[in-house]
Amino acid sequence: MKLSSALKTATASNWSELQRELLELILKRLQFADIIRFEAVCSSWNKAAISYVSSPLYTGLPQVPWLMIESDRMGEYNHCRFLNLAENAKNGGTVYKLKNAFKAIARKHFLEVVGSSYGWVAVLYFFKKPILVNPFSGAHIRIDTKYGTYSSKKRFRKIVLSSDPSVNYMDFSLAVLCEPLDDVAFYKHKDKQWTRPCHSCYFDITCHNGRMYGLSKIYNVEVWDFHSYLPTKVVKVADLEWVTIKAIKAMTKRNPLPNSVKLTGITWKYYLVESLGELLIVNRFYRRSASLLDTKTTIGFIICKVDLETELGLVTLENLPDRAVLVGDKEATSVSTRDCPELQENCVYFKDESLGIYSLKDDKISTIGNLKDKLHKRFAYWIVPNPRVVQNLNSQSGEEQ
Amino acid sequence: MASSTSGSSSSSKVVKIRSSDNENFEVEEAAAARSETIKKLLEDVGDDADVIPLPNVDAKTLVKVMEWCKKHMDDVDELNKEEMKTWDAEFVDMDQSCLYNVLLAANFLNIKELLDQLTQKVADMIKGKSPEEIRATFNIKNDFTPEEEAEIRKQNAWAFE
Repeated sequence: MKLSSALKTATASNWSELQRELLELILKRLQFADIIRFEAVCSSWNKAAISYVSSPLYTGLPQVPWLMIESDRMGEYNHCRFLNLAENAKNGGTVYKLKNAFKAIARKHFLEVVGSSYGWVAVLYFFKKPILVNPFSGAHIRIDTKYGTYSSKKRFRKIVLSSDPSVNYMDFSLAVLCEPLDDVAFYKHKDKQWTRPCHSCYFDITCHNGRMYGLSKIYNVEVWDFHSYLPTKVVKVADLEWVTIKAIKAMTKRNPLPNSVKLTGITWKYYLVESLGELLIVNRFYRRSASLLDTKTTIGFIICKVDLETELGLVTLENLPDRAVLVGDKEATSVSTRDCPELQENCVYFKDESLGIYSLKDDKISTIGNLKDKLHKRFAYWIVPNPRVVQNLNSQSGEEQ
Repeated sequence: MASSTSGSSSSSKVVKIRSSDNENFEVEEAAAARSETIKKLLEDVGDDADVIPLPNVDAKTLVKVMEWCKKHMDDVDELNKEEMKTWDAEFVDMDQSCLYNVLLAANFLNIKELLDQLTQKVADMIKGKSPEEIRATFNIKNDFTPEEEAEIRKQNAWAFE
C-alpha cells in the first residue's frame, strides 16, 4: 500500500503538455479576452489557442457584447475603449484601451463609425470613404464606391453586414442606409456591385440570417433578400405612431417634465432588433436638455414585437424574460441572459454620459460601469469581438495607404 | 455502497477494474458503465471478464472518478438537481495536480459529462486572470523567450493592462 501511495503522488501534473483536444475543450468555455491571455501563458497553449480560433469550425462561446466607445482623450481618433461587462462584473466591468483600433486608416483622420456586425466595424474616414475594420485582428476590407449604380452624392448613415466576412471573405453583402433620403442600397462584395432597390425611406434597418429588415417611414416592416428590387414581405405596423404617443403621455405623467421643457422637448428613435427569433422595435425616448448644448438624456424605452407570421402588426411587450437589449447609437442588439448571465434580464442597456440600465419591470433607470464621459461623445456601439482569422485577406484587399 | 437501495440484486452487478498501479476495485456495473471506455470493454469481453485493466489511471485518480460515477449512476430527478449541482461543485474543487489527473482519466475513460464539468472548472480557474496568475495557478513554466513574450503581448496590449 505504501508503495502505491508513493506512486500516486509521483504522477505530477504538466498542464503545458495537456493534449490539444483537452485544451480545446477548455478554450471552448472561455471568452475572447481570456483566450487572448491564454495565448500568453506558454508556447503550447499559445499554439492551441491560435489553431482553435483559426479553425473553420470555430464558433466561439455566446458572449456578452462589449461596448465600444471613443478614447477618453481629445483627438485620439484612432484609439478606442471597450467595456466588458462580463469581466469584473461586481465593479461594473473592465475597460480595455485599444490603441490604433483602426490601423488601416491613416492616423489623424477624423472618422465616423456607422455600424458594427459580426465583430466588424463599419467606418467612414477621409471624404466619407467606407471601410470595414476588425479592431482586434487589424484586418480591414475596403468597400468600392467607384463603380456601379452607387451615387457619390450619397452619404452612408448606417451599414449592416449580411454575414461574417471572416468566414467567407468574398461572399458577403452590405445593406446601407443612405443620407439624405434614408433609402437603402445593397453592395455585393464579390463583384463590387451596387443595387438600388425601389425607393422607400427607413427609420432603421437590420440584418439577420442573410435577410435585411427595414422599418419604413410609412410604418411598414419590410423583409428583403439582398439584391432584390422589391421586398419579399411587407407588414403594416401603423399603430407604432399611436404606441409612441401613448408612451410619451405615460412617461410625462410618471415623471413630469421640468417647467423649462416642453412636450416637444421629447424626441425618440426607433431601432429594429432581431432577438431570439423575434423581430423587435425598440423605441428610445430622450429629453432634450434645456441648456445650449444639444445633449439628449434617455428617459425610457418601449419595446414592441412585430409579428411577421400572422401579420397582426405590433404587440407591446410588458417585459422581456431571459433577454437583454443593448442599444448603441445607431443600432441595437439583443442577447439571451441564459447565455450571458452577467447581464440582467428584462433590461435595456444604453449609453448616455455613462452606461445606463433601463428596467422594464419597474420602469427605472440606473447607471453602472466605470464610464463617465464629459466629452461630447462620438460613438457608442456594441460589438462581439471576432478573433477569426480571415484567410487570404491581405492578398486580396492589398492597397495600403 | 451497501447503502444503495435503488437497484435490485440483479441490476447491481459488480465488475472488477484494475488501476495502473495494480490495485483492484469492485464497482457496480451501472457506475462503471458511465465510462464509455469501460462499457465498450465490458461489451467486448462479455461475462468472461475477470478484471478490466486501466493502464492509464492510477488508484488515487480512479477512486475519485468512480466516486463521481457512483453519484451519477442513476438519472437525477428534479428534486435532487440542486443537491447534485452542489455535490458536483464540491467534487471538482480539488487541487490542480489532482484535477489534472482526473481530467486525463475522464478523457481516457470517455465520461463526457465529467469531462464537461472538469473543463468548465479549469476554464473558471483561468477566467479574469493574467498570464502570470494562470501560470501560478497551474504551475506552468513560462517557456517563451523574452522577445516572443513581448511580441505576443504587444499584439493585444489592451488585454494585459
